[in-house]
Amino acid sequence: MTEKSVDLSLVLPGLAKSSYAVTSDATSAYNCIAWVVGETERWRDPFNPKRYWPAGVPRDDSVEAIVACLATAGFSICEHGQPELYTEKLALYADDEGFTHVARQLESGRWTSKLGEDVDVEHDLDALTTSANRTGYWRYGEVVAYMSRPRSA
Amino acid sequence: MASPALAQTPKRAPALGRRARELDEALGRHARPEEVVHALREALADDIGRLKSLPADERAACAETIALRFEFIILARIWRLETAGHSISKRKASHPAFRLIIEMGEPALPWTLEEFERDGGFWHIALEEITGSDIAGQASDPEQAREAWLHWGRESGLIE
Repeated sequence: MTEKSVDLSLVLPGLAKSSYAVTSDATSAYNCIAWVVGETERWRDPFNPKRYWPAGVPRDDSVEAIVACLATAGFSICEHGQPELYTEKLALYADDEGFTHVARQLESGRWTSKLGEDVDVEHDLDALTTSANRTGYWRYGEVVAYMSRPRSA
Repeated sequence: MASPALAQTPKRAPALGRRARELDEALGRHARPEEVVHALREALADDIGRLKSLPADERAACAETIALRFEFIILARIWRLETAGHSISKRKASHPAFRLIIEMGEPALPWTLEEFERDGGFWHIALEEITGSDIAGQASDPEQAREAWLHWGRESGLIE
């Protein structure tokens, strides 16, 4: 079985026009929520019983439920996404219907994301927002919260 | 592992007028119609060839199946294009193209299994909804679930 990537210029034209890099093949083995906590072997999903979801965390797609999921990996809410020494940060995106996406900050200050079933990309934080991709098919909404934890050595 | 009983007579698609409008709208949103046309030509070439050789009284049923498959291919491509970026399965399952595939019912099962076999992903949600069964209920990971559904599809004669 091969998993094909879609044309990012169709689905995220704002990303395609920005400075970004594809850093993996497409795969449905893991998703953005798994990727930001360092997992590439499982897909974290509150609704799908065939996928992983931490015990005791609400099974919904509210930002609060995703924050609770990420808290089980040591992250807590923080004020902003500016890079800080020895700190690993996450940015949570949401739209009117709830959580859509989460990105993880690299030591360089740029961000890394797993795009659903598609590829991993290194990108600018704003390049995935709906306001930057109004003509694209994928709508991640806007950044609504940041989380952080001490960066492991 | 019990297999869900399949009806002898395939369910007809919902009212053709509405479906035609919905497909037309969906194709209008598709930025790469030539990709869809290519997929249609590849998938339907054999069926259309067979249609020509059928006796006249069998052509109508065969043509109906071809039309349904035509719809399925368009909907599957649109669903994949528009939802591959989602990480939450609820958003994939609520997409209008996905709901239209579910409405097709049992005639869509072999094509859904073929998509699942080729691309993996979240087709098990469609299979569960159409059959009303969770064939892969005991599977502990997505690959096991895929294998369980493909095994069921072969046992049921839906795929080779």
